[in-house]
Amino acid sequence: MIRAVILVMLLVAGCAPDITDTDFFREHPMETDPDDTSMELGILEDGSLLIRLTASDSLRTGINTLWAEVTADHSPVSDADLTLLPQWIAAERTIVPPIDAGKLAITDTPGRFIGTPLFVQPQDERGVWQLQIIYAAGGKSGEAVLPVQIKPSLWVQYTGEYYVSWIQPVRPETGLDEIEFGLHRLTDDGFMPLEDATLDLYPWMDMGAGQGHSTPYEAPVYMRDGRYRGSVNFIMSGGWDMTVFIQRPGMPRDTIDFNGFVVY
Amino acid sequence: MLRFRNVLIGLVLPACIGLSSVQLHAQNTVHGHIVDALTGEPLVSASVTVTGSDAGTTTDSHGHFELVLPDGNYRLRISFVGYTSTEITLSLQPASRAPLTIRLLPAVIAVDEVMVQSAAPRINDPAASSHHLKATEDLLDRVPGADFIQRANFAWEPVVRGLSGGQVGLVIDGIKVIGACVDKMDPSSSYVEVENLEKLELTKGGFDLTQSSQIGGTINLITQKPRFDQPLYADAELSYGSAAALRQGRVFGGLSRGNTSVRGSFSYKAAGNFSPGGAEPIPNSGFKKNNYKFDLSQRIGKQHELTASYLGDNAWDVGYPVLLMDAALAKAKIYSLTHTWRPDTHFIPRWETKMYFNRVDHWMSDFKRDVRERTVMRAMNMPMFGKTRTSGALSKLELEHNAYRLEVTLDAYETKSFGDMWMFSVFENIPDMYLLNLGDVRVRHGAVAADLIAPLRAGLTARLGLRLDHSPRKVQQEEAIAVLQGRWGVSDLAQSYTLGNVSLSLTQELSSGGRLRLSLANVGRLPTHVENYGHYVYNYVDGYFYTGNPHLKPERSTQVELGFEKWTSKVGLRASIFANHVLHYIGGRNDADLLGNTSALRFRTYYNSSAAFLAGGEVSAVVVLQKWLELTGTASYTRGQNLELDEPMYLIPPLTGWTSLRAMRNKWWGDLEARMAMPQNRVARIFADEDGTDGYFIVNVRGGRTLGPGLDLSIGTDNLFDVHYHEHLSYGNLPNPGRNFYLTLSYSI
Repeated sequence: MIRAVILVMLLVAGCAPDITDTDFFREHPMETDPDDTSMELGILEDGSLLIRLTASDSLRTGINTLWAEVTADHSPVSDADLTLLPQWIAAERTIVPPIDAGKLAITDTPGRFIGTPLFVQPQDERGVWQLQIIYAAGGKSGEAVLPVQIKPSLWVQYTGEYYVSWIQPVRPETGLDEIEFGLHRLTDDGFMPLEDATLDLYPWMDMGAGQGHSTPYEAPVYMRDGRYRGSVNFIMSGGWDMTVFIQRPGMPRDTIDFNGFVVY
Repeated sequence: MLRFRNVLIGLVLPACIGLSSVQLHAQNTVHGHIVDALTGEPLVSASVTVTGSDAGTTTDSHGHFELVLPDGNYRLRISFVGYTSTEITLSLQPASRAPLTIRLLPAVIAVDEVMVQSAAPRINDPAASSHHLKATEDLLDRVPGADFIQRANFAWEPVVRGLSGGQVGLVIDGIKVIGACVDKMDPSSSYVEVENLEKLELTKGGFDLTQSSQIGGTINLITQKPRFDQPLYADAELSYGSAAALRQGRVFGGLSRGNTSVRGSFSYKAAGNFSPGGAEPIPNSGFKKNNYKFDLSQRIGKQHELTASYLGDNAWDVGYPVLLMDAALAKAKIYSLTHTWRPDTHFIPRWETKMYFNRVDHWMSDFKRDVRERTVMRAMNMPMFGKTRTSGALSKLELEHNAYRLEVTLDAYETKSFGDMWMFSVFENIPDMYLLNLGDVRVRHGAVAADLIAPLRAGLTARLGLRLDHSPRKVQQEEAIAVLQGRWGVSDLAQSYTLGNVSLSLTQELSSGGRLRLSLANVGRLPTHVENYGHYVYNYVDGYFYTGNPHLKPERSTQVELGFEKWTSKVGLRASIFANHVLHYIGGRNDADLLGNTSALRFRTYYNSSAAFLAGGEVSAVVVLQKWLELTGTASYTRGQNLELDEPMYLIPPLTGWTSLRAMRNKWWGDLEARMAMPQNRVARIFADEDGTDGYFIVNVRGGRTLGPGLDLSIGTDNLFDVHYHEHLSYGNLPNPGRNFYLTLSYSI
């Protein structure tokens, strides 16, 4: 009898609807793989040395994450010395933005390097971009040039006078992010850094239907080479807007917006 | 309904078949005296009940009682207002007729102890009634000083003397069950249905330190366990209530053989939209719920007993008409294993050790709502999920020497909590938003408590309570760490609290026959895990989104209570007044760094305000007009003041009272009951923009009759005059149900 009662109780217990078919508890829909290397930009061959440049998507204005996979005789080379230099070709002149995109750093994967070059404006009728690659690996060294197509993006905004580049965070995440902007002006001598500006911010999450909210931040202050660094505490993931106020001595205040970037 | 009938057949039919093999037993008369353990004075109107059954009686003017029971093994529970209840085990055989003398120790602190399913419903409080309990809240609601925050027609959150949430210790058989909903829609009191509730113990104020560290009160819901006194028993009940078309069915039963006993229960409720007084039904106010419990007890020798228990509760489609969303599903599973040792010595009456684990999951959603029209979080769906996992151990050792009694408690548990929310705008150009409300918060808690009762001199008894708590806690998920680090500008969010508590009560027997009690306490309560580490948690009271503060200090309370009790065969009276000064009162401060662009999108952080002060009192009385007729009444009042803002505290109930005329004959009973509340205009305007509430007066009438052996019928009408009203503690001024006619049919074997 005791067994029968236990059996009956177990049969009737636990009846409840299953709501797992409602899909709102799915994985983060905005999540992207920052290590995605599906876009091949080009391959450099120097004898048995092979350098394969990849990115997760088409290159766009602003900071781009690139990977270089280096092999010699099909074996990964982890002690390579690689430098990437974005070059703007306008009116048969080469203008190198004064942004230290510089050396690529080795990753945890043998033979795999990462770099974050900055492209300040998109390719258009005024000029095109190329990447100069300076390498020393597997007993070989040299230079090569790789033409690249740069599409416009929200990460560089043009006020009509200044180029305001979102330099970091490359992948904004919830929590306290260091935020860094580059301010440049295009002159006959190239992209010249602005050193005398005072910046202020206004981060904003538009929640639709006329409502939204800000989040705590610290206004960026000048560091060097036209770079200004502050911080933002993104309290939630989703789509955000960032207004940057630029004040230069004796000049009217400029305002630009980075609208619709994703915080992961 | 078909499904429920199958359940009934599954349980009742085997039970009926089993009955045919049960032999009739000889009847025995159990009789004896109940006396004060210190003075030897007989206790008049003390209650003697057979645990787990309806059998019971009360003592006469000489403290004498008499019960007629068949042969068998029984546990008698002896209770009396102002005294510590006790239980004794009886083995009735034809030769055992010796009178019993049972000595009760003064309780020293006031405990409202309400038994369920007893022929003597008034055990320790004049207001207690066991008739027509559709939920545990009905029982607690009748105790003066206890109120509820009402968010829907479901799962109310207890408030004791104006304090709630983490300020009140709510446990089930001593087990901590931490709610999973960050908006507190799942108070654990909803997990204990009436058929599984043996007793409810409520201690108001911070004077009972054996259950938890708290400053408002302690509620212990003691559940039914397997019985060894009957080889087979079962009970089934069906009821219907008109105000919400509430359909409810319960069945429980058990059997024992030798040293093994099992008990199981199952209940199901389904309520539609309820109608307030004189108005149309409120859309989206129904719910569905089932609850099940299974216990297996094994006696090992004469001194040891092991009980494995499993309690499950599911609620779904729970409508919250005044909130932004509804509970799609709420699930709780509570497991425990209890060892009880009753050594054959007076020095150690009992040592109980319990290990437990429980999991609570809670889903809320607003996909069935028109989100375009609301003011807060307009035009977006916001499904929420929360879960907690709590595991712990609890050990209580009782020591007794002459009239001295010491209870030592070791209490340790760990809770892991998670909560998140999606926000999906109805507009395509707004990206999905994700919010982590609780990012894997881990709270560990260890405590040791000692509770000593000692006679100081003739008529004067002292009770000393000591408790030391230690609780390290931290948030573990990277995203939550990053947000809170950014908010508070610190890298280390871990927190560790150590809290000391002390209470002292003195009870003096008066020459007039009454008893006077003075209780003092200096106690604290730790911040909840949401107050420490919650993020963007919406508070429906003040309409702000809250961020937790890992640097919160514990609330510290200094309390005093003065009580008086007198109980004769004709009149019973309990009264108490109290004052409670709360230091570091946890409130909300506007977050200047976090701005919204609408008045409905506002942000606060938890912080310690300077202080709050509460004072009030309760009184309850019973007058026996005839042996079969009695008049009862209660009243309670609390006044709370936020000393920092110099305004009333929010969610403080007004002057509230019950009065009831009760009649009970052999086969029938009847209650005429009135509940009333005065207007509440002392409200928190600065902190919460709280509005005042009108008073109300409602009348309930009910009665019942035994139709045959084991077959009972009860009918009644709540809110007889269909008054439209709402409680002051009702969110969004959600009205209470209007006239509710109900009918209940139960059958016991």
